[in-house]
Amino acid sequence: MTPANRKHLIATDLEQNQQAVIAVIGNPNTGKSTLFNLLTGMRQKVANYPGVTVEKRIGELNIGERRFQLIDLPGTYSLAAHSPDERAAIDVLLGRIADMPPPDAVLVVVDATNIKRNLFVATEVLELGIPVVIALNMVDLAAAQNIHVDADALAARLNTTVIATIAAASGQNNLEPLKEALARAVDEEVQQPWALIEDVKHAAEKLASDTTREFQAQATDEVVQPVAAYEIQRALIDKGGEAEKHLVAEFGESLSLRLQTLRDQLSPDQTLAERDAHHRYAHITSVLDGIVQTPSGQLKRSWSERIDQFVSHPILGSLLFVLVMATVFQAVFSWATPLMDLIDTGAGWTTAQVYAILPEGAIASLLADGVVAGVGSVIIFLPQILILFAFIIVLEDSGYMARAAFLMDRSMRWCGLSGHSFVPMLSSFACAVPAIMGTRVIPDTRDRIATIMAAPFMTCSARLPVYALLIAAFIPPQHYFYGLINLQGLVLLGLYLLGIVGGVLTAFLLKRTVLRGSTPTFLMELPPYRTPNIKSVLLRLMERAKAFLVRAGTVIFFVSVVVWGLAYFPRSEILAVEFERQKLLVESSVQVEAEREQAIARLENELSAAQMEQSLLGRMGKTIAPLFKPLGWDWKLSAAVIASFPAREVVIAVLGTTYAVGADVEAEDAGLRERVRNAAWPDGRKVFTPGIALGLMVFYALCLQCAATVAIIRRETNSWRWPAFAWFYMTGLGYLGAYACAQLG
Amino acid sequence: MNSQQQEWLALGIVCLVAAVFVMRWLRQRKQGGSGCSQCPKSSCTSTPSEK
Repeated sequence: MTPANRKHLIATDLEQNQQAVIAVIGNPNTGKSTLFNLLTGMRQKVANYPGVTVEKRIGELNIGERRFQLIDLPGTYSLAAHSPDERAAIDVLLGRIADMPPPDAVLVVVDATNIKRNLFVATEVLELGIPVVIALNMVDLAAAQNIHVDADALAARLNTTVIATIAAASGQNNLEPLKEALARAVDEEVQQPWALIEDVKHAAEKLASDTTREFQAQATDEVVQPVAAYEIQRALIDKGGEAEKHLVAEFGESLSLRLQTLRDQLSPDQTLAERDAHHRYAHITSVLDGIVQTPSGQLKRSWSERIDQFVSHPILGSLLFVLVMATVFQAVFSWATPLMDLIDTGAGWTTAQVYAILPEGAIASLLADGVVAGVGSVIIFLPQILILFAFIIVLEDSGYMARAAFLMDRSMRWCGLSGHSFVPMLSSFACAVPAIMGTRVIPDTRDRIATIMAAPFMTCSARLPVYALLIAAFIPPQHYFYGLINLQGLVLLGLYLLGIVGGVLTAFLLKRTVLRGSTPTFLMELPPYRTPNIKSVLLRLMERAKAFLVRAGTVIFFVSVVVWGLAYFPRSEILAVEFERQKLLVESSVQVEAEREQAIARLENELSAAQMEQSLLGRMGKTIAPLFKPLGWDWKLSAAVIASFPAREVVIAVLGTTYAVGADVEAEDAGLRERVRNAAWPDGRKVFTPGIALGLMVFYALCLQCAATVAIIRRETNSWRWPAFAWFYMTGLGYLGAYACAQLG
Repeated sequence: MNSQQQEWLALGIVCLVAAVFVMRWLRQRKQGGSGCSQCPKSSCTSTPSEK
């Protein structure tokens, strides 16, 4: 698109009062996302760029009467794309994203403490001719290091607007100069693109025009989109990069040969990337000459570096890491309890209200046993998830997580992964879905898939109620070492470790077989430590809470209602009549009121169990029971396990119904524990022997019972092959584990 | 409402919920999403491939 066309587009947009688009770009760890959050507040939405699994974050910025669309681009050190994230950033800048106009202005966020390196991408964006505003961020940290940048002089030399900002401490009022600059930039005249290395630009333009013409000649009946000269320019400079891959895929291998010929002609002595970097840094050095004051003489070590001496130390840092993680998990389980109890009480109160208001029957049961018990049993984990994510976000924003990934790199390399995989694996302890989405930061495809396959093994929050129920029912609360070690706690720890070992071994095996390849060097910038911005942390937490609640309100609601329907229908009239007969008998024969109520309650539970046995779920359970017979499971357990394949936490509600407890089927419910413990075969043998109970726990630790995880693996790998493999592999492992445990007796 | 009427109504609700969910899932699939519901629907603009 020519500048004239773009200007026309802008004019049309403004005339029609549509939102102008501002792209936000910058190096990682420059406070870019914090600034974006502060500018847009809650007016954000997150989606994917078309065809790729790169997150697109769009927000709305209001300046006076005008509204703008802000796009937070993935952090990048240059426009040389070597990952799908960086590719998406360039596509946005070039206006190559479907349904998204090219940006009217670009906000480049620059770290004032590292201005030379940050201006690399800024100068590349300036070459595009799009109006640019530079946010000179973290000027407070720069001042603390005795680095002073003359923003006005920098603006004059770069011929653009430069605004000093402190994102971590900014309130809305402090951002007014930046907002005004952005509003002005959108109305600015678009310049002709230019280039630091003119001959490369000219060669790229010629090749773009030749390629377009040749393809137009071949495609007689359709109009060929002109090849972007800038993309050819990028392909020339970034040999083997995303631009070259994209062009070769579109125009064939011959283009690759022509690119190489041009490279040899343009830069015979060094690579074009080296030539570009030399020119660019020379230009940046001349721009900064005299306008940046840096401390002279021996640099005093910054407090960030002093902390790093301890935090990044192989032994001390690892000990601190274990301590931090222990605190995080302790907090997840202990701090969440009051809130979880509150939600539990709320669910119990709602159930009681449903039964109090509605007459006894199917509708009351649907609402109480289906909707409230099902959705409530999932929502109860919201506090745990929010506490875990609050820790992760604060640790990320403070700069600690980068150190943790650096420390874990050595351990991860043992199983063929790198430090990139650490944060997604850690996130899996809350939920595998965001963790799998988080693997997008891993640049190597093989590493990414190995991490995706390992992540669902980690003990997510949905496994917790299953473990809580089974441990409380079958593991005696014995204490050892003067009460310091609790056997139940040890079993829980063992199940967590089993998940970790399962994931690590899976990655190890995959990286040595189908995903064989060298582990890439893990290079990452250690950002300076900083105080997280509370508003930004809260915004991200609310985003997580919203996604979780939406899931509880859709998938879990659906599963709860359908499982209730399967467990409730069809109803047997004969059983109902028999129950009424026995009830009358009890009422007439038992004189003591308490005993009579107890007897009737027992009858109701027995009726519920009998109705369940002949329901659709019961029949299905009996049909598939032979499959689980080697594991020692009865049909009720088989049915509950099958019903929990879409979402493992559903098993609690299904077990509650199958073992006929009635309304309250929470894991902590002693009634359910007792019923499970006393469940017996028709010949009187106990269903749950220690081996079978342990086997069930192992099954839940290893099996992939989560439709959302299967869907997200499909989405992230763009194939059904990997989710199918993950499902069969994990379910097979769970089955074998449960079988081995069942042999213990 | 007697118990039999209640059962019919409950069965109708279960079928309706199942139908709405399946239709919603199919529509999401048609639009190119994975069919998962991790993100709010209003935010999901993913399409199968670049046009």
